[in-house]
Amino acid sequence: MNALPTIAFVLILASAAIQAAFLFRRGARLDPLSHWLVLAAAAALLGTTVMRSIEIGFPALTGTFESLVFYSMALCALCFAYRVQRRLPFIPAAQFGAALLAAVLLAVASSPIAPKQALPPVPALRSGWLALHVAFAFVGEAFFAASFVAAICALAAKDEGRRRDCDRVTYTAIGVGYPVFTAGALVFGAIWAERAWGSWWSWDPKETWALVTWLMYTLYLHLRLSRKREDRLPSWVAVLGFACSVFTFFGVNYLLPGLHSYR
Amino acid sequence: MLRFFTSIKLAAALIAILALGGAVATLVPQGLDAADYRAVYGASLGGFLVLSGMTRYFRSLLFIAPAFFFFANLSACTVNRFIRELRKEKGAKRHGPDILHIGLMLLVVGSLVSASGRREYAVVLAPGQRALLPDGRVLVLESFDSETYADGRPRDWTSAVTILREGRPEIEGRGIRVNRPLRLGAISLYQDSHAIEAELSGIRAVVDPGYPLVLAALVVVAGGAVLSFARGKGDRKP
Repeated sequence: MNALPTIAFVLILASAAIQAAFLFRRGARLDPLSHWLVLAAAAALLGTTVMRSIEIGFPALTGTFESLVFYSMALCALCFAYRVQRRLPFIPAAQFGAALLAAVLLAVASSPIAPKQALPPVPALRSGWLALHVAFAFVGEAFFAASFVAAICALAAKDEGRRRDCDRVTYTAIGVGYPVFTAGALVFGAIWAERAWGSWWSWDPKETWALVTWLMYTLYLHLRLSRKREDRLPSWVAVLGFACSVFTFFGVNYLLPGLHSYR
Repeated sequence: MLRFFTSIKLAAALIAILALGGAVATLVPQGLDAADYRAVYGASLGGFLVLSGMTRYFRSLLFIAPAFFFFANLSACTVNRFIRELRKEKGAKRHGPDILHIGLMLLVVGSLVSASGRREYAVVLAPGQRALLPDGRVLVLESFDSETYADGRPRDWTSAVTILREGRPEIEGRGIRVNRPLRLGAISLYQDSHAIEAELSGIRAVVDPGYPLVLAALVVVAGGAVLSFARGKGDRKP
């Protein structure tokens, strides 16, 4: 079981290497292999999650390592789906960026900040609502990660046609991620908190930053609605929104607790 | 005035203010004594943080003022948009955003009811001991069971309780477990996982009149968010 995340990491890096090689080639031909490698990586990570779930007798979504594995899996699956779909413009650089992000997530999962030991959850975490909360939140964030790379491509685009394509991918990714993240991070999270502790919202740093992330994507949607199509501000907000989602996951856990405690 | 409150630019500005304020608030410890802030941040900065309301941000004007204007803007936009969609003669009517906005309005109202009416009581009991509930009923702890994993880590805590009304058992032998509260009408009883010593059980009683509305609002928000982005045939590309 321990080898599966490593196998997934190697597959993602191989996929990224192939994509990089084709990115710098002339011509519009797409490589025929990289998306299958990233799909295989997703399958390996799904296997990791399933096997750990069986080992601990509960959906393996209760720790940092498990969350990062799931997040990377969702992003890999999204990379594959994006490559095979035909409704949206395909932007190879965005695909490459998303694959790199999936690799970074696994690299962080392998670091000392994510203990690997498969431990059954303590009582507060033994809740189906928690499993739904984490799963939906990270699927939503996988779409936000996709919107982040597409937004970067939009900001770097040299011609308006390319920028519009990237903008359309950004908007579509957020359009899917936003309701999923709303359900997962806010709705299921509040329901779980009430059942576990009797308080559906307590303005603690994690909850507040999840709300800040949600507000950033709400801001993106309103800006995109109200400003001219050639305006780049929505793309900047999409980038900042993803930064907020990363801070919600990592920054709150590892930067804020050392500064203060809440009453 | 109406154009001001139905402005999407105002909405964007207020959303940005609320996001920024919330983010900054997490950098300042909340709810400590003034002396604590002066000790940590120095007399000048500490005093400024206290006076400005940053130390109790979510109860201060810094938060309440933009939140109030946000609610006003949200309400005005919701009504305006709903009427506009109803009057549409060409193209599909899309009410997903209206449902989402109505859900948010309900959430704000529910939050206010919750914030003003929520009461919480905590008690630590040994088996056989009793506690008076907020509505006059009596909670009797019959037994407390602590399950552990093979490595000694806690797996579950269960309090078996009897509820007496006017001296007579109304509920007997019901279990309260973490993540499985016992609902007694307006009162919910929670197995508190942070007050466990030896044979003692920590139980928390919460009265939150706003939670049912909050729960309904959250469902409406989630449904509205899904409908807002679900595209039917004939919808134009984003």
